[in-house]
Amino acid sequence: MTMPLPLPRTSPRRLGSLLPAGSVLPRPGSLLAVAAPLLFLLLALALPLAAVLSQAVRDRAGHFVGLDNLRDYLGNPALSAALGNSLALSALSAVLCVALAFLYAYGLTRTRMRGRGLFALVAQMPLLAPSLLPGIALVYLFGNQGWLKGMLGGHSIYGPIGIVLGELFWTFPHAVMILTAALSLADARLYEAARALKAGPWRRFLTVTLPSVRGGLVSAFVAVFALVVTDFGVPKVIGGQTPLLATDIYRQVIGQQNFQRGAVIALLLLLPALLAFLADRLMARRPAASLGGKAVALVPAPNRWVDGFFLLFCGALAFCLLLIPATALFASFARLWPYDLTPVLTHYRFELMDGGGWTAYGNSLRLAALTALFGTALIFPAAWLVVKGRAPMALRQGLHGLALLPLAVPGLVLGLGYVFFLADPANPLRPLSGTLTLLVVCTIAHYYSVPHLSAMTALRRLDPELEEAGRALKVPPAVTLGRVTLPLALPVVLDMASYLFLAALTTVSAVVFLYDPDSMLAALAVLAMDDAGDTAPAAAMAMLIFGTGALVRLLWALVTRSLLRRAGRWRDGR
Amino acid sequence: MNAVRGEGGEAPQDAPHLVLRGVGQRFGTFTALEGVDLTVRRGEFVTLLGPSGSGKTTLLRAIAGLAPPTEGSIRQDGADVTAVPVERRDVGIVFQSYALFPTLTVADNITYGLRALPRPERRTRLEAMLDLIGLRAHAGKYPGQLSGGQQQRVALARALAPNPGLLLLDEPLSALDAEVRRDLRAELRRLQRQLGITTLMVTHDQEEALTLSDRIMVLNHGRVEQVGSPSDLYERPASLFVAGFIGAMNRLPLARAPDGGLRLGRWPLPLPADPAAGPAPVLCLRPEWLGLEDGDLAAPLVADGHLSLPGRVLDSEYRGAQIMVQLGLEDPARPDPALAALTLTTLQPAWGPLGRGLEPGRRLRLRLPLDRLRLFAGDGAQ
Amino acid sequence: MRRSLSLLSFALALALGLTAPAAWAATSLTVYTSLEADQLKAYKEAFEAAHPEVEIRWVRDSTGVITARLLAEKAAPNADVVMGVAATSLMLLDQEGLLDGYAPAGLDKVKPALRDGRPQPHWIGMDVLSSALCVNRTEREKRGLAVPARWSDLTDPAWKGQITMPNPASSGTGFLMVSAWLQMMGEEKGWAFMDALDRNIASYTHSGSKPCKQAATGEFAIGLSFEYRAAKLIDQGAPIELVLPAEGLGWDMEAVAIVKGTAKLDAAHTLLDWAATPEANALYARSFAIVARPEVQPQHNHIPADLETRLTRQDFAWAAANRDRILTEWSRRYDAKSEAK
Repeated sequence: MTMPLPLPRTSPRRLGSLLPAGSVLPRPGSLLAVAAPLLFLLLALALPLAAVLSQAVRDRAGHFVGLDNLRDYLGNPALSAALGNSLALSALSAVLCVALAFLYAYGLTRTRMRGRGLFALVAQMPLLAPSLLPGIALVYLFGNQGWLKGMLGGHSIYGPIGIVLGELFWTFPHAVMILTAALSLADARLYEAARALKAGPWRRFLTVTLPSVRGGLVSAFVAVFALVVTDFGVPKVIGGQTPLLATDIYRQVIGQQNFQRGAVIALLLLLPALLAFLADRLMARRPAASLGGKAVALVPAPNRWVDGFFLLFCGALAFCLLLIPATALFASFARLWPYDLTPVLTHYRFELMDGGGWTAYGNSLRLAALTALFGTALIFPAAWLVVKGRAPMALRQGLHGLALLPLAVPGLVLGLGYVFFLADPANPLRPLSGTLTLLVVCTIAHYYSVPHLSAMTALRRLDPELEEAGRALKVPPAVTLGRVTLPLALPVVLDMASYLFLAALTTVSAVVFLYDPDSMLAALAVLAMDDAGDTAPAAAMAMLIFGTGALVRLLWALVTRSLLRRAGRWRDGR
Repeated sequence: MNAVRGEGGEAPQDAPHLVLRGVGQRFGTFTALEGVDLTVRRGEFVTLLGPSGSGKTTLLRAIAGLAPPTEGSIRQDGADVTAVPVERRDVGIVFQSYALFPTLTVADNITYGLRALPRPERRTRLEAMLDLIGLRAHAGKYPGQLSGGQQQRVALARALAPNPGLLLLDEPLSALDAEVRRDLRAELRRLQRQLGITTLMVTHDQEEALTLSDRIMVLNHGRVEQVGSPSDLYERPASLFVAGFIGAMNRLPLARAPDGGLRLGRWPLPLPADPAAGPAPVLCLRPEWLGLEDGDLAAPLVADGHLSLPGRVLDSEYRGAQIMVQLGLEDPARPDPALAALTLTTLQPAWGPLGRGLEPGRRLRLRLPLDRLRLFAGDGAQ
Repeated sequence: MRRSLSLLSFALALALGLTAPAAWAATSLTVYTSLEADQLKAYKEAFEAAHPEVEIRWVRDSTGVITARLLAEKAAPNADVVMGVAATSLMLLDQEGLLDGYAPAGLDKVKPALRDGRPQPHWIGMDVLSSALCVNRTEREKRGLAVPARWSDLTDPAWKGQITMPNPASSGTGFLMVSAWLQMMGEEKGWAFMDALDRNIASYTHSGSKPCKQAATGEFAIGLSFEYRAAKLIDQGAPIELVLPAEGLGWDMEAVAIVKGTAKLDAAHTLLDWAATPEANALYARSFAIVARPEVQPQHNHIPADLETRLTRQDFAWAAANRDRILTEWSRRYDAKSEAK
């Protein structure tokens, strides 16, 4: 269950020093090659975004009105409350999530508690489901008929409590991944030195541990904040009367077809995401407390009390995490929650429900497979062109910059951008509207950055002389890429594909504006069924996605292992 | 072994294989390399020697076509190849890291550059190369399963397999243990002679350069300091840098008297005052040329082809066959702080006439043969 | 070079083949609808069985969304036909000049009250949808409360936080209730009633069915919804009491209309012809107590036969003309409690 980090820390500015200087004159081949991914990102990312920006400053008739739309929006207290709510709840969720995830990750990396592998696996599990799942499960758990309603002390789950709980579940894996990575970079010598200087456990924690993970903490906070502020799955289901930016944009665009207002909210949504992105990049540029070449890996010593405490803590948290899908699973089989809990399969008969049912599920599988296939086939070679290509530096850096852009672009904004971009009658790509092809393109663009950064990191770790050796032997770069570089990077390539597969399976935000009845998706069907009040079938579909994701991850792990075994006799010698 | 190294190019045998004219490399405002001229004969082994940052690797990459120079021209076999990229040059390269393809077997690595050959010929060539490096039994192994020395040989075989006119070696031995390095050095020299392939090697190891090369080009700060045979460089270094970089060297910083004569501390030196050596000349002599004899001396003295200086033993180190002696200069008339800071070393046979009597404090005359003395312009740092 | 070629071929493959649906043998008719998901399948099957040359491609969303979407697409409509959408909405669309007139075969057999009066009607009713209360018996008894018999009973503070109703901006069911209250009680009293009701409302839902479904699971005790959903849920075993408030029921017609400018006019006519047949009406009758053709007499277990007499008098022209104003006022007062969308 290794997934690439949501925000691998690679500064764009550092790119320069890693590219071979004084490159050979660009050859037509390398120019053409780099043009392909550039063109893709321009069409699938830059132009739709530009379309959102230009719509935000126009009225419904298309006349330029400057910032009037924005003033209009901020002047309406009912609407602008959404901005405050979004920022406050995102910050609250991020603080809570990072605090819990830090302790959890600390237990995984710095203690000898039992079952660390299992706990690590459980922490990844929320990635398998669309963000609608925690909302639905929370209704069953804490709703008016919920098992645990009493725990809320009379407060309603519909609103801030539900939103924060749901987002905690959904963003937890991201925070744990970042913090696990940060915490596992520990230099035992620093701890020995602190000990020799008679620093107690608290002082060691404050002076050694905390400074070394400060970057990770900020990065996790920023990542969670950005995820929450742009997520609309959780608040859609359980947000009750709490207006948020993400649900507002959806209501304006879908409910009232007010695209200009949607574009304005998109701008407001883009802003915190962009700030978060910039903050993280700034942090990444600062020299992180990284491990020097001589660092000694820290092996935590067993400690009955510490290990016991963390076992208790992680166990309780893992139980809470598992409770969400378990509840949804149970509810999806109950004939009529909460009155008749006889297990039946009726809620899995989606054909009489909104949302396209099994067809939507089939579409989702196709979308996921195509996104994984074409996404990987596009992103890995493009990353290779950035790292190893010989096109002019400016082109390669432009490609790299565009590839990082999706990190700062919420899916809803991107989706709305496609609507505007394709609404132009002069756009030759217009026939793509509503097709699965468009959804594939949009999903690849939406999730481009993480696999791109994984590929970059993997490629940079390879000896640049390998490629030069290939050239010196007069073998075309593509052959060396296929025979040497690709096999070396195979685990990363497979990880990229699996990331894209799961992302496409669970995404709702960008595609919610783009599907048509023939390209309905399973995650959108969850949304539609929940909207229609068919909560149990919605839970059933969400669990179907969850199960599919889990199955795919399992198959992926097996395939990866056997592929590596077959391709990797050369690894044994190491 | 003519099967391995085929016929050379069409150019006549005595024509130079490689000619560099004014080659320079700038990265933005930084000049990595400037005004390099070099002519390499066919079959010659030339080493580019210099400290790190001297531009030697930059020069090799320019010659390889990996990073074409921003100035000057490179001609190979009579053709201008300055801007020709590596894949269209007639070169084989052994990289510093070897850059063996870890995913491919030894055999596949060696035949990697032979895609154009028909299969049977490729096979023949592979076997010839495997025999050449003596790794026939390892053809099916992956690089990760080989020792460092074996990997180095595979890298060499892979570079030689396509029968290039020019072999480029980038610090080929630097990653190896001292013992393996010595063995491979000999083997490399043998192979190069046997194949008669023009070879350019980059190294920062002067011993490697001296033992392997027909000629050495010494680079410093992106400029050529000297080009010459190993003995030229050792015996007649052209600059203070070369003198210091290759072998051990005694250096005596001198000053100019107002009349232009040379002074060592307060002593005037009875030597010809070469004006080219500038205002702060440095007098250099290899330790092995510094002689010792008993006797006191009041001041420097030139007689029977030697410059004699008064001095005494500071320390001595027993090294078996030889004794390394550290000597100080001393003005018997009155202490001179400028002299007190200077030390010289010499190697004396342990069983020679002075032999074991070289205890610290012993007063001696230091004898510097005039024909071995070198006078350079100081670099100011001394 | 080979690399770039392969990238190009990726792009091409992406643009072409991937998603091409099987070639349609029949004319594909894009029909915007607010019908319930469980009705869509039956209607489509029956129609395509009768007319294999035409295929229905449903685009389903709630009344408000469909209406907004048709308005937004005014310049370049994507729909060929609108079916199963509230007549008030269709009248509004008609005012915008979006609908085409057509007199289907058998028009003379359709109840005059359930169609546009013009000889080439711009919309034709299918059935009558009326508001109803879904009351969860278990939850009600748990609280020891009586069955609410009147709209005004819903303002009893005992029901605080236990009532949900559809948002009239998105749901046709929601709008027909609000419109009926305003006409029945007069504007002033109507809004005052809604203010009082609002104090008890837990949430305004996007869909008209959801309040009833939520009442079925006891998530909220009372759902303001429509009679078909209540009857259906009772059949499925939900502990629901169907209540038709005594003051009178809000109602609207589900109707069908042709979108002006459709390129598939023949197929659209075929669908409208079918929609007015007794066979189609028999399908409507499975869900609704009142349908357009008088000869079709629906029988329902849970819906009283005298439903028609319980409907309030509705001025649909007034509702259509004032729809925007009503919704703006409604949003101003109650938007904070609405579900997203």
